[in-house]
Amino acid sequence: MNKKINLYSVFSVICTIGIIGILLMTVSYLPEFGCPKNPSINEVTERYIEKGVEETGAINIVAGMILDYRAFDTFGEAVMLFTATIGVVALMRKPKVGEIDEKDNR
Amino acid sequence: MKNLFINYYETTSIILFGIGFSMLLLNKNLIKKIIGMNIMDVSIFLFLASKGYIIGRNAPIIEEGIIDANYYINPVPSGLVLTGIVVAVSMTAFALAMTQKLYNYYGTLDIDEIILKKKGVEK
Amino acid sequence: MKKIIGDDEILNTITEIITPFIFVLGIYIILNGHISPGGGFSGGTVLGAGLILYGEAFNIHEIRKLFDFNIFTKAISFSLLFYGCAKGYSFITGAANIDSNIPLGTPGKILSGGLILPLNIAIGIIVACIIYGLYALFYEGDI
Repeated sequence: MNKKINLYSVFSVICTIGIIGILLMTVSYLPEFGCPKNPSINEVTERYIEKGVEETGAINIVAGMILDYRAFDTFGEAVMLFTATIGVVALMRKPKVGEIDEKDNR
Repeated sequence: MKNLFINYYETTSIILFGIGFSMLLLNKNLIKKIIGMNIMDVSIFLFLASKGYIIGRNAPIIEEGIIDANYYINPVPSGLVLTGIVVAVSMTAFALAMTQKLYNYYGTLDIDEIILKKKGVEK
Repeated sequence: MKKIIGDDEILNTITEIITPFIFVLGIYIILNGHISPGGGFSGGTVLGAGLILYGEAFNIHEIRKLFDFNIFTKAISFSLLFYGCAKGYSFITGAANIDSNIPLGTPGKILSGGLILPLNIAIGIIVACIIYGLYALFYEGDI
């Protein structure tokens, strides 16, 4: 294998180990996995579960959440998929043999 | 320090993030850089999905009339993961289309040679 | 760069048998999005994967008789506009405290849940068209 040990690769390995070390130190302060007294379970969760059926009419709570309470986020996702596809069409579309591309006519 | 072995989902997610990040920095092939970015995305999905689980409770599909907040898990992180998956798919598709155009123009997939050829063309 | 396609007997026979079931499964996942796990995104992906399988086994020109570039742009644009108008109506009547006449129905049947079923169908159409369209663009250059 032809890998050169130069300054760039040593520096990048040290940088990666530094970032992962800081993140692991932060993870060791997180609360326990699966404990029902975590601070991420607050009144928002209770409101979505208790009044989800009578306000939206859906039995699947996640579907009622992403399509009724937070439907604007799903609209933004659909627009983002559309924009990426239009970008790929603009980059990679070749007209079929026989069609004249419009710029050749000028 | 012992907490890292109790929360093993979060620790695995951070290690996968590190592997993906080093793949992004150390490879010269453009396709391998895109694979590294995908691995970083998947590690964040694992981290987000493990923040919603509570031990001993069921999935958030309402069964026969039990509407009780102490019977189901947290449904909010699942919605965030759905948004994240769509972002990852869009980014990968767009990056692969740009890689294909670069290959058609320069003839190589190695990013060092592309930079050298571009400097040679400008001179 | 097109690869040379020889007729593969196992792939052609299995695709002929199994493709209708894939389409029915995808439509079932979309329509039951508010009762069981599923919804618009996963159902749309199954539909797109069924189209990719059919286009890979047989020639891609056979799908192009039904699914052109014109139909692709019109389907996606119409579905996005429908989603925006439906949710915009819901926002405007909700913020001005006017009563919006969307029936909620009884939870547990298919025709329930107000606007959730049409929005699921719109998202399913968008995702299926995009996943097949990306495959066709990378394969040949034209949808």
